[in-house]
Amino acid sequence: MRFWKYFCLLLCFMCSFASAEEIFPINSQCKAVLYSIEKAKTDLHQNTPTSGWEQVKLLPDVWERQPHWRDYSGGAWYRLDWGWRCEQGTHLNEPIALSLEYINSAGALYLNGDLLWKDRHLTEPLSKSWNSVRYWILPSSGLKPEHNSIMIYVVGYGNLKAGLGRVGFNGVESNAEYIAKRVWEYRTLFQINLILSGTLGVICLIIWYFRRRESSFGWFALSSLMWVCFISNVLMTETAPFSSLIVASKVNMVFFILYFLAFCTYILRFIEEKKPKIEKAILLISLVMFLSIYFVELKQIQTVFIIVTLFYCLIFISTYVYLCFKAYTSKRGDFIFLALCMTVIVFCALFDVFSYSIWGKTEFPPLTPYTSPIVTIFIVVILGARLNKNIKKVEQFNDHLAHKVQQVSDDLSSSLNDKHQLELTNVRLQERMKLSHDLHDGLGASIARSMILVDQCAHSIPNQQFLSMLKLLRDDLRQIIDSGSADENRVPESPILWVAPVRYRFNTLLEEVDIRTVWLLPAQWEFVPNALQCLTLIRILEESLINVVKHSQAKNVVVKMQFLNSEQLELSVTDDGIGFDVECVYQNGMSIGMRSMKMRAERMGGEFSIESNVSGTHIQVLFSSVVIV
Amino acid sequence: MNTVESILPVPVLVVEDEEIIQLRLRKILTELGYSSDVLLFAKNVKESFKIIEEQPISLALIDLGLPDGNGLEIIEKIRALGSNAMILVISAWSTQQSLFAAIKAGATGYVLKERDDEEVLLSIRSILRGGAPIDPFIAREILKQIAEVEQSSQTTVLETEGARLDTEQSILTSREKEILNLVAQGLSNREIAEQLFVSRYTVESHIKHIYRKLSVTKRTKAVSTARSLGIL
Repeated sequence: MRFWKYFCLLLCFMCSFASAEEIFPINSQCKAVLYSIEKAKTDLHQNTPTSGWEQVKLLPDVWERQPHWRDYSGGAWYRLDWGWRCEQGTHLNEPIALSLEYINSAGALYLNGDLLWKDRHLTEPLSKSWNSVRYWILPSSGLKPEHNSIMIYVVGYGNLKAGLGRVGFNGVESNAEYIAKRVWEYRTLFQINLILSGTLGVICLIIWYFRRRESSFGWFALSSLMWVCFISNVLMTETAPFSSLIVASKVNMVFFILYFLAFCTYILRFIEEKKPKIEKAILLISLVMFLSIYFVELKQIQTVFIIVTLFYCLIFISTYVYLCFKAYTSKRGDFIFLALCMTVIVFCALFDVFSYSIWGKTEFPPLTPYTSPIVTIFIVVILGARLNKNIKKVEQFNDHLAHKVQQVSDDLSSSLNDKHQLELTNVRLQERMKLSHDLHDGLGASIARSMILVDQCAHSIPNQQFLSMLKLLRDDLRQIIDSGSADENRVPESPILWVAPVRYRFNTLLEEVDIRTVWLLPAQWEFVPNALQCLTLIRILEESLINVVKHSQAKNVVVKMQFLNSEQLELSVTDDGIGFDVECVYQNGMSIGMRSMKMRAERMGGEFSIESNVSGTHIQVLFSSVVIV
Repeated sequence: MNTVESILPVPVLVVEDEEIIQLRLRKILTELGYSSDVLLFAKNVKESFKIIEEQPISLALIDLGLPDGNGLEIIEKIRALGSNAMILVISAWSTQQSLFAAIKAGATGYVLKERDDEEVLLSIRSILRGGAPIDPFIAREILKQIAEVEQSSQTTVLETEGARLDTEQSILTSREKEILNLVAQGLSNREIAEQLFVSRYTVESHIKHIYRKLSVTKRTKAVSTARSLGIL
């Protein structure tokens, strides 16, 4: 692509035309006349050869075109014989501007034997003046009217297109115009291109560095940087850092190849294509190219360069055609846009080639230097748009992801909820089972016992006894209900709190019947009795206190609970009432309650004892922490 | 005892849907010294409302589970009418939560229906004597909720002025809290008095204060109290 621009520049050296005697108007009255141009080879810059001068028909003069100059490497002198004349009666009243289109590669210029200018390096590494237009203002006082001589020393390689560009004489003003135009087209535009390509290349490189997956950015950056290296040849005025002009040319050619490779790869990656086999083959060919460039003799260098150029142009054109094909078949906007850009580039390049080779150089200014930066910007816009599209995709994906996460977490929470419900149901079920167990052990046993009692009783049971049986059953039921309906189905944190409900209930009753009660309770558990033990203890306490309230006629009662040691708990209820005959009560079944309590306590591994006489009653229960049920 | 019984508060409302238990309660009340003509019986909420609207009552024995509603409605109605009647809940099967709700609605005390006649009688007599018994469970519940209110008012210091006043009113003094703590352990008023070296009457007056703070007479205020306690 951009190669064409460079290529055109080379072409323009060859296409100028001049006659043996050339006339240059200075202003409306005066003109300069170039009478003759001669050149001769020389081995030393200081020497002016006396023989071997030959006529040069036209400038620019390119050594390559003359058989015995083609392979010549070294210095040469050009001798220009010129003068100026004005129309009758007028004088040259302004200076003459002398312009020199280029020298390939380096040189020096003398006017009438005086040095006007010389390149910095006239030996390897040579200076490069092949793309630098130069001019000098010659005051009329320093010029002879008829014959002046300009001696130009040129040093270069015939095989590297050494030669001398056009020499012109002009008025100062029109010269300035010409110089400005020439500098703009041949240097400034390239500078702009270089800076633009470099900047965009670096930006794309950075983007690629952070987003390695966007490989087209990487390839574009690489191609831009290769292009910068390649095109800098146009602007460089010294061969350094390379050791010689030959090395510099070879290196430049290498950059040229790399640029094409990178750019074609960029196009392929952009249209999301990978052709591993073809790419490998081209890489292999490129390797051969590199080697041939490295080893080529100076004589064959042009042939090699032309083959390389044609080969890579071919690759480029095929890539371009493939791009158009893909754009056409895929109908994707970005592909089509890139194809259009490439079409503009190719069209401009072809136009420039034809405009130089067919119409000559002056008709149109070259298009490529103008279009190239714009198209470069477009290419970057396409890349940017693609990046934006990808980022949008990512953002959409993020939305999608957030949505999914929400959905999943909803699912999770609902399933957790289900699990929780299940656990609740399980807990309820366990509660029910516990309740059934309590009913069976507590109330069920009591009912069974009562039935056996009634069944085995020889005489009919008095109402009072029957009622006390029922009351016993009722109180058992109440205990089960209370223990089952309590919020926390656990043993309270201290014995005081555990006994509190019973204590409260009987405090009210005992106070009503004027019995003084003393409660002696431990502040802490030494060991915690199990649920059934708790139930039994509370029932014994209740039964004892009911007896005290109903029958004892006591004035004082002491309820005492204490831990005898870390494994034994004692509960005792002592009153100072009238007492009763323990044996009698046990035998005739006066108190079904007490008897039932005794049985129950013993079944739980407790010791139950009643002592009673006329001065009071003492009920004592002993429980151990280790119980075998 | 005679002096107390000579000024028995009348009339007495008995709300009970079961005939046989009505008879039992009539027997107990008669035993206490009431004559039949001052005993008003209702079988449901509707009948009770009618009686309450017709005349002011002084003592009410109320069952919570009634065929057409909850006894709580009756308690609230009595309190809404601005009555200072003593209300004893006589309940068959009741959870601690429902009893607590009854106390909060304005009940003076409660006794389980299944208890022996003697026990029911003693409970009524205790009420008539002006005792305001607080069940250890109720005391514990109040203490728990006060702690919660205090915690939340510490975290949200800047509440509206009105809400804060309500909170201050319903917050108990440290003495009252001390007494509640002892009540929660099941101690009787006498035991509390002995433990705190004060007279029994001082303890009772404290307990009545607590009661008043908990069950305020006006329904609207009750709601706001409940809110400030964090119950509603």
